[in-house]
Amino acid sequence: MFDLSPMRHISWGIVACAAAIIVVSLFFIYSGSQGLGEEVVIRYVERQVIWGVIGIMIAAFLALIDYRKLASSAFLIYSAFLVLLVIVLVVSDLRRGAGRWLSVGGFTIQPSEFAKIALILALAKYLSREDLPRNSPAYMVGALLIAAIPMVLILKQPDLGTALALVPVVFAMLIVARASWAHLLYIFTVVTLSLPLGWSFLKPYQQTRIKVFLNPQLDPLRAGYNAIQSLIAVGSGGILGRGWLQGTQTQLRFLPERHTDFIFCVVAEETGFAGCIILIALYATIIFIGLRIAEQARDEFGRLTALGITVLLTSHVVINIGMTIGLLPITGLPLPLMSYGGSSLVSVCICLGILESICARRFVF
Amino acid sequence: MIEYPKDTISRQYPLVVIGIAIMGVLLTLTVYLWYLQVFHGEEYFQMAASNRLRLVRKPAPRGLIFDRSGTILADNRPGFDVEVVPEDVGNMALMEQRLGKILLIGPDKVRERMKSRRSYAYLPITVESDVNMETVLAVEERQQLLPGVHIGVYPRRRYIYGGIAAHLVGSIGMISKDELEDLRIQGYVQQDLVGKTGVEKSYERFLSGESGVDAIQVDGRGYLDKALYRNEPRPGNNVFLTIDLELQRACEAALAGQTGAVVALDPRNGEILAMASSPTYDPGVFVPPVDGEMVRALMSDENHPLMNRAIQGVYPPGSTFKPIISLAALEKGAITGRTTFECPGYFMLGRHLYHCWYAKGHKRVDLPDGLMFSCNVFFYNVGLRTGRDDIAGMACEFGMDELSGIDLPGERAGVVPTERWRKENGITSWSPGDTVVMAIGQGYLLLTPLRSALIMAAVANGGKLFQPHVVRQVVSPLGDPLYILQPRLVKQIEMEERNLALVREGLRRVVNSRYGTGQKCKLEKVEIAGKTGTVQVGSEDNRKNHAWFVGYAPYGNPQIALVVLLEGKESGGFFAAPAAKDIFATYFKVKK
Repeated sequence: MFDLSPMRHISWGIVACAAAIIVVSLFFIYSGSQGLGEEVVIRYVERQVIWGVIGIMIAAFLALIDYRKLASSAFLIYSAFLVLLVIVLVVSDLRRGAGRWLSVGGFTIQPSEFAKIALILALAKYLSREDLPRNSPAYMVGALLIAAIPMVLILKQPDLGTALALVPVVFAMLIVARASWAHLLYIFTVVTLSLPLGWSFLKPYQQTRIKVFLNPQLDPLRAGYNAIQSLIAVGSGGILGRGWLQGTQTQLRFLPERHTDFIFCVVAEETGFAGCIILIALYATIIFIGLRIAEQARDEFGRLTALGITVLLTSHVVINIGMTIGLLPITGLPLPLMSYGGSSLVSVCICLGILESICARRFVF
Repeated sequence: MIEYPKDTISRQYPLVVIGIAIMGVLLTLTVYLWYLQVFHGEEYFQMAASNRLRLVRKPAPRGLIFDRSGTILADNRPGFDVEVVPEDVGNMALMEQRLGKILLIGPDKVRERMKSRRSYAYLPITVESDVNMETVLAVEERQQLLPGVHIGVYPRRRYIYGGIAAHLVGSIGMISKDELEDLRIQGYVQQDLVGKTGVEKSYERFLSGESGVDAIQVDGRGYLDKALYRNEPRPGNNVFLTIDLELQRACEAALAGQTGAVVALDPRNGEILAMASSPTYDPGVFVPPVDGEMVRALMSDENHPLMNRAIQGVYPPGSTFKPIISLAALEKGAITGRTTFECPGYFMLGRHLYHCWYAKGHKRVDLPDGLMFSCNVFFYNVGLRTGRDDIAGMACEFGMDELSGIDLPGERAGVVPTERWRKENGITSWSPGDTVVMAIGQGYLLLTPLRSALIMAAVANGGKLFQPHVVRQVVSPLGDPLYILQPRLVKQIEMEERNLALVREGLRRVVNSRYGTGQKCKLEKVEIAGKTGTVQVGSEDNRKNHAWFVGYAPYGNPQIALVVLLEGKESGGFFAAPAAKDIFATYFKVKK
């Protein structure tokens, strides 16, 4: 069924780093969920293990199949996820509230986690077309439409973080696809100028988050609480950390969302600067191998897909860490492979599987 | 060597840019993490510590205050507070209902107090302070029905004899903003109780003790995680006063129903044997929880019961000044023991007429008789011969315009119209008439009853001015002496012994001669020396008399100097002298 011969060319570096991060994540999900009751702690770790196994299996499957098969069905996948995103909006509207997830047979999934990959595939497919001149406005407008439709739907959920994380992905793919610099500059200018306009479209809580980011002391007990407590957690870790299960900010539950969005704080508090360096080094290894895969990709679609996936991982890592240490506003964005949650873990595994598929076939013509 | 097509190289170029950009961003994160964790790590570590630590203060029982023989004047009784830990309550509305009924304040009041007094979670909120035993039992009996409600026991100050020696013992109260500013460095915090007046204030650092602390660790919502350590409070040290409760009571009794002050001190060492000021008050009124109504009433009482007249009231000395002017005249050689003046009952100075209090006149009078009769004409003459500056100089020798340095807060100094004082107060003209008035202790002269007692002691002991004190020693809760006050001689006034003897002889006659103005102070078994005085204060239409008696005993071997001042009384001889007699009688344990 599968041609196993390209498998000798997969990147073992990515496999090792990703596996290491997943294993580490189990320890800090365990630490971060302390105090929620022993049953809950065990359940969280067990579930994450199950999701990890499922993720690795999916990744292995994707690595085995030729990514060019994805190229041929890229638009189909893309359209399917657009429909799912619309369903999320309709359902959450019926629920009268915000919602990023769908309930399917007892599981809740976040379609936006997967829609990001669909967007990358579709955009890569579009940008690698040979029939349109690269410097024609039509080429650029098409690319922007493909990018903008899912981004707007995600923004409407509302999930500002995920939408924003996609911006560098789109730009990077356009740059590498050798879109006209003039067009890029033009888009960049328009986006920058429309930022103040965008402010009024933000929900009040999103505006508060940004105001509090600029000055956490504005409301230290409520809106600024998370920003301050996460900063204290990170800072108090010092060089070597307070020790696993010893961080007072984590264990006494001063930190919010310890096992999900703020898991980096737990690592920072309990293992200190040393632990942070190691974790960031693991991510950097995956990222630079990803860029190398993009460089060596056999065709334009592979190159753009690999790049898109790599930049997506990068922006998640940077935005998540940036928000926990007070460099960026707080947006609910998981740390890839570390944060508790099946959708995020599985979607990152899918990304890495596709990346490996491209890597494995870089010498196949 | 593989040759790449040109196109390939130009294709790698944007990837390299993106790679450099990503490296830059990751490096920024790393550097910032270093800045937070390594550079500022210690500060964040402290912030994390203060996040999780709560210190619950446990007040220390204040030291006890005893009289000189060991009778307790101020101690601590257990005070019961009704406290609520909201986290343990369960059904809040039901608790408010039940507790409101027991405390007779209704559920709304309970809710309101819990809301306004809330500090941190887990820490108990005091809903009602110092409740009576009935309430304590009512709460304890309903323990099952009142989860989260308990009785806290805290030491509360008790002044056993109420108004007796109130001004001396003093009172405590909630620390004020200004006091906190000064005392914060010694570990005081808001809500602490401190001495506000009297010995409670001046010996605060001995009496306060050290409050204990329960350090607990709380979680992110403020709930108790675990107890970390506990420091038991250290009780304050005990203070023994120099006063004798029995003598103090005699002094208070002598003043009962009147306005005035009494000071009794030991001329041999400056110990205050008794000090009373009337009207008095119960210092217990100021111990929290205070009744605002009662405090306001005390504050606005026009008789100023809170004022310690013995050290804060200044009065003209009147005829009790005569021993000083006598000594000034004798020392300066203006008169001798043989100098006499004729008293026809009046004295002409230029065109002004000055009366003696005895209109028929005292005939020819020498110094001891001048004192005995309290003959004004004799002292008019003495005053003019001695002169303003030498009189003022002798008054200053006795420290009349200085603070005595007594170990009580709020002492006031008297007034002597020295050259400097006149300059500072803009008094430029001085006529011989002013000197005449000064000679009988009127005019600008003012002193406190305490200073008056110190002067009498110095006359009795040969010119020794001691620094008076009301505390004898401070001992630790276990009884080890920490601080013993030794007699402190401020000054030895140089005077000829025979001059002092002349004055003392005059003072002896005041009480013991059948012509003396102080006969009503005479005791059978003890020879008393003294001087009466009656002063007029206020303007023509609002004239008020004060009655003085100053004295010491026994004449030959002085052990007590005593001053009685009664505001609004006509005559020292008729009112102050008999009051003094009762006090002397109590001191010497003889029949009145």
